Amino acid sequence: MQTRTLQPALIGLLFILAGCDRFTQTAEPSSSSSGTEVSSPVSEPDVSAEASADLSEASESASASEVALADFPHDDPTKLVSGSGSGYAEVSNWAPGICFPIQSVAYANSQVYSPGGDHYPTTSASNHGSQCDAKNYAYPWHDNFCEARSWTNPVCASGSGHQGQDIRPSTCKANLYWAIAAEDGTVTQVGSYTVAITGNATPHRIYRYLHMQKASVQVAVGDHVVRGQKLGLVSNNLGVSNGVQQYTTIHLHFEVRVAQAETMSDGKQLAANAFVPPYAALVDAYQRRLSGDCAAATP
Amino acid sequence: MAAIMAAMTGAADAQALQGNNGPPAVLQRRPLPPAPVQWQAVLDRLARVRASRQGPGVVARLVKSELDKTELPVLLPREGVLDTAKARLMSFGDAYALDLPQPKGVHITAYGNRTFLPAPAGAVSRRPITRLKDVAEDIRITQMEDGWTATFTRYGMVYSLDVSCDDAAAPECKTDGFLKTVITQFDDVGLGARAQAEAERFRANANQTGSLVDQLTKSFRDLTKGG
Repeated sequence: MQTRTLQPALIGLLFILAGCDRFTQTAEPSSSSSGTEVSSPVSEPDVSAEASADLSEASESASASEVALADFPHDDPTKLVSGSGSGYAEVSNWAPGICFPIQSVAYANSQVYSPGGDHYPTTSASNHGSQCDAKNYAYPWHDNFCEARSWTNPVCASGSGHQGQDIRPSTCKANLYWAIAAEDGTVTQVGSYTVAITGNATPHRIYRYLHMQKASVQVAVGDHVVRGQKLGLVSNNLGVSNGVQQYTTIHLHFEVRVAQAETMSDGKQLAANAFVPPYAALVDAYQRRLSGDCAAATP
Repeated sequence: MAAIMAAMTGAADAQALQGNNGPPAVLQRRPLPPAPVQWQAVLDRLARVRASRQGPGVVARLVKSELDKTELPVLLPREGVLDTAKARLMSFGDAYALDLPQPKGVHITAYGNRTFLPAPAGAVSRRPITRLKDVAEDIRITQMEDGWTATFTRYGMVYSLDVSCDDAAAPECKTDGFLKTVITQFDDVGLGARAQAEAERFRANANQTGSLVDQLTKSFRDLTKGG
C-alpha cells in the first residue's frame, strides 16, 4: 500500500472522500433486494447532483492544494488480495491519460474475495456477508486483474485469470453513478449490459464496460464519444438468462485490450490483441481525477 | 483533455509513476510504427473470393465513406451463414471495428489494427493456439466474461473477432463453437479507396520490379551468348 506522505490539503480531501456519511448508506440495493432490476431510468437531476457533489469536492481540494497529482490509499499494481490468485508481474500503464471511468468516488477491489463475494472467508459456509459492507466502500484499492478465473490470460502467472478491474462506485446503490468514456473514441459494441469503445487515437485501445443498467445506456453503436462522456449507470446487471434477470454485485467491470507485438528471438514479431492490466492506468487516472481531471466533462 | 492524453502518450518509455519508496516502476509503451500490409496476400485472396462468390459480397453494404478511409484490408464474412443485414463499419483510418448484430442478443464485433504496442516476452507466444480447417493462421481463442474472442494475424495486421451474448446461457456463448464458425466465415476481404490505392501502388512496384528483373535477365543472357 502507498505510504507516501500526503500534504495536509490532500489528507483533508481523503477525509471528505472517505467520510463516514458515505458508509452509513449500506442498505441493500433496491434492485437486489426486490429480485427485479429497476428498469426505469434514474432521474437525471438526482444523478447529476450526486456526481457533481463528488467531483466538486475533488476539484476544490485539488485547486486549493495546487498539487499536480493527488494521492489516495491503494495497493501497488499486481498485489492481489491474499489467496485470490497467482497474480501477475508485468507492470505497465497500458492506457496513460485516460479519464477515470466512473464519475464518482470509487473503490477498486474484488467482487469475489470481499464481503458479499462467494470466496470471502467467513465462519459460515453459505453466508459470505453483504456486498454493502463498509469494507467494500473504503480505501485502499486492490488490484484484481488475474484474480482466479478459468479464462485464458497469459499475463497471469497461472495462465488464466480475471481480464479487467472491478470498481465499485461511491456507495452501494445501483443505477446512480455514471460510467464515462475513458478516451475520445467511437462506440463499437453495445449489449444489454455492455458497452465497448475503441479509442480514436493509436493504438486504438478497446475499452469494455460491463454491468451497466440497460435502460440508462446513453450511447449507440457508431456514436462518437468524448473523454468523460456519460455512457450508462453502474449497476448489477448480468443480463437475462433463459428469461430470468441475472445479477452480480454493483460494480463496473472495466477492461482494456490492445494490439500487441512480441519480438521473438529470430527478430520476427508475433502480434495479437490482448487484455492488459488496467490497474496502473486507473490509479493514475484516479489521482488526476482527485486533482480535477475529467471533472467538468460529460456533455 | 486531449492535450493531456497526447502528452502522456508521448512520454518516455519508462517512468516511475510512484515515488521512490517501494512501488514498482510503471512502464509506458510507445506504439510501434504501423505494420506493413502484405498486399500480395490480400490481392491473391481477393481474386479467389471474387471468383467464388455470388454478387458483390458484404462489402457492398458498408458505408462507403468509412470503408474508403480505411488503410487496411477489412475482413468480412461470406454471405449466407451470418446475419449481415446490419453490418456497420467504423473506421479509424489505421484501424477499424465492424459491428455485426445477430438475432437473439448475440453480437459479433470484428476489429482490425495495424498499430501494435511492444509486448513483454510470452505475452503472445504463451497463448495457446487453435488451428481450424480452411483457416491458414494460428488462432488464439479466449473466453471472456460475456462470450468469446479470437485474435490472429492476417496480411500482417492484427484482427479480433468477438462473440458476446446478452444471455450467457445462449448456445452461441456457452462454448467456442459458434466463434469458430464465425472465424471460418470471415474469409472475404474488402478494400476501400485508400487501401485500393495502396494495393495499386504495390502492384505497380511489383510490376516495375518484375520488369527490371526481366530486363536484367535478358541482358545477362545476351552477354553470355556473346561470350
